[in-house]
Amino acid sequence: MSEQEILLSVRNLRTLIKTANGTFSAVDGVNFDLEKGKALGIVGESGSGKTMLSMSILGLLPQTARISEGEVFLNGEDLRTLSKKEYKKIRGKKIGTIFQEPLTSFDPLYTIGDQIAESLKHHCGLKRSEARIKVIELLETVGIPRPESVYDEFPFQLSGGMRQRAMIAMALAPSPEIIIADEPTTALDVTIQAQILELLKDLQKERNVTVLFVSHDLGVIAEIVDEVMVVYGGQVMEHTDVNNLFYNPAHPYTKALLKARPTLTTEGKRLRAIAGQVPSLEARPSGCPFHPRCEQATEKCSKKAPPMTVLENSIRVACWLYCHENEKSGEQPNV
Amino acid sequence: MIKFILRRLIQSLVTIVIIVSVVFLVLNLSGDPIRMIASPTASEADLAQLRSAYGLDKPLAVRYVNYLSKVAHLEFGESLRTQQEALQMVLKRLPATLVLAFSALVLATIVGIPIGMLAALKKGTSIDSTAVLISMIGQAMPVFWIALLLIFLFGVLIPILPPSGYGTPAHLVLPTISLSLFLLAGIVRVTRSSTLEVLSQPFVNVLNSKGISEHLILIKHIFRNASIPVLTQLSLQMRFVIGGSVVVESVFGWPGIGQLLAQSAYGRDYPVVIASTFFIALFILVFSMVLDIFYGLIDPRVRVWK
Repeated sequence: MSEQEILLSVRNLRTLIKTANGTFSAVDGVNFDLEKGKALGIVGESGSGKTMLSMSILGLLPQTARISEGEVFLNGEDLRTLSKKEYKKIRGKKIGTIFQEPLTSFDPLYTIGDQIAESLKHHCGLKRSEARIKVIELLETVGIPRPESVYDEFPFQLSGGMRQRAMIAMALAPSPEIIIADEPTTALDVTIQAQILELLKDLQKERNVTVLFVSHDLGVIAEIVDEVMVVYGGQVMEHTDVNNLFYNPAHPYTKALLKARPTLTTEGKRLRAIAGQVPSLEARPSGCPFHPRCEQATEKCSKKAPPMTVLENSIRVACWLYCHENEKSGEQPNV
Repeated sequence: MIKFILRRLIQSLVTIVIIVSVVFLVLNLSGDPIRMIASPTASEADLAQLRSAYGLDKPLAVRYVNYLSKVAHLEFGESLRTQQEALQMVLKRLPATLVLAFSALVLATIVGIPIGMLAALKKGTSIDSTAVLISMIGQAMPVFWIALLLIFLFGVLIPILPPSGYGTPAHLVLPTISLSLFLLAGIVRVTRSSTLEVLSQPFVNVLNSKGISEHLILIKHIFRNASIPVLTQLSLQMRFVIGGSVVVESVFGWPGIGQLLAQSAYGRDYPVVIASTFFIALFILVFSMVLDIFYGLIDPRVRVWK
């Protein structure tokens, strides 16, 4: 990992949310590095803190949330030390974002072209006519037919798949170094999903864009990413490459997730769900957040959160099962 | 867009025919105007003579058809009380009402929208609760009470403004404020809630993620989206502007249509009531048509579909 240039680096990130009942950590000491040109998937159930993690990196947390500690480095620059104004320059320009809902992600009152040109005009200082040419080019790149006329069409005149393509064009417009895609295919039907994933994969290769891909769907993740980070209760459970995730999962939670997937051979049988449910933000268990639902949990698990252990194949896993085996190899403790 | 305006014009024409017909029927149900103008001692023969002089002896259907063709030519006849042309009486008073209604609307809009937006942007702060309080007070106080209060405060206690009358801009201040306070309260409330609604939309998050300036997001995107429900509120409250102007004009001695309408309705002065109603209806229709065109300009979904 050290040979490659590291683009995004998150260190011990902790994000707090204030609710009526107190303050709770939605993101709880997350560490990871993302190499330039690679795609990292963040997988987790609803409420596992994956969106809060990506919003923390973007600096777009809701008013009730704030980062309490840790660092986010983009190209070695600590984003947390930036002023609001400086952060705005990074957002859009260096970090592009694709959101979940293509239906509601555009302002209904302006044309597709106008909204994509908006960030070009702002970040690259292009004139209206220059921006138009660039936007039509972009629309063509993301596979929108008759881009000239789509430029002047309103969001409600496009289908969901077209809108998501336009959304991708908007994220790509100022040529960002990294794209954060937060469940970009969740609201689309399966055929369109496949097309959009194909498009994202192609763009990533052609433009050498780094991608942070947030999803709850392991199948979608398998399509597009190189590495996967499994998140639960705001903490990283396992950080592995995509092959090892499916063929050599380490963490009991990852294993349980894989077993819960529907496959072609399990047709007619009940799906295996993980017992219990994701603990709410306000009722996170002590120790390892997964221990109440874990089949292999021991007494130790409820007392102390396991440190991150590095296994062979540079799999990182936070579980006492592995910490016993190689006592010395603990990275930063994941507490 | 032109098709849309044309269709709207035809709709307005139908509306005005219906309004004029309803006014005719209601007035004919409301009593005999001849008994109101004739002296109590007049004989049956005198009454019959008066009736035929005003054309009131013919059957209702005949009178209705005559009436419609006259209204179409803007012939409303003479006032039963002053013997002046009803049309002239109304036209003379129309500007005063238009000035009052227009300034109240403008005041309510240019003050109400910024307050409402600010309250939404600062939700939960003291600015927000103050705005909500103001709008509650504005909606709870009856117009005549606000008018009397203002006269007492600025006409009597601190006599800096004329308490009644018409002519100079200073005369306009108190009636305008009285009439606009209720409107303003409604606009603050609707702007606040529609801005909050827009702020919760995912596209605002997307705009923020693009890193463009906050002013641009606020003016170009949030304000434009939030203004659509405010337009609806305005067109609904036009009824109030007219109803309120009857009260405000009476309290301030403002020589407008509202005052005229109130007086002639008491006196069963048919021609004047009909002429006033006609122009008030026309005013509301033109206003709501202008608002509809605004809808089309603001929202492409309205424009493109029609």
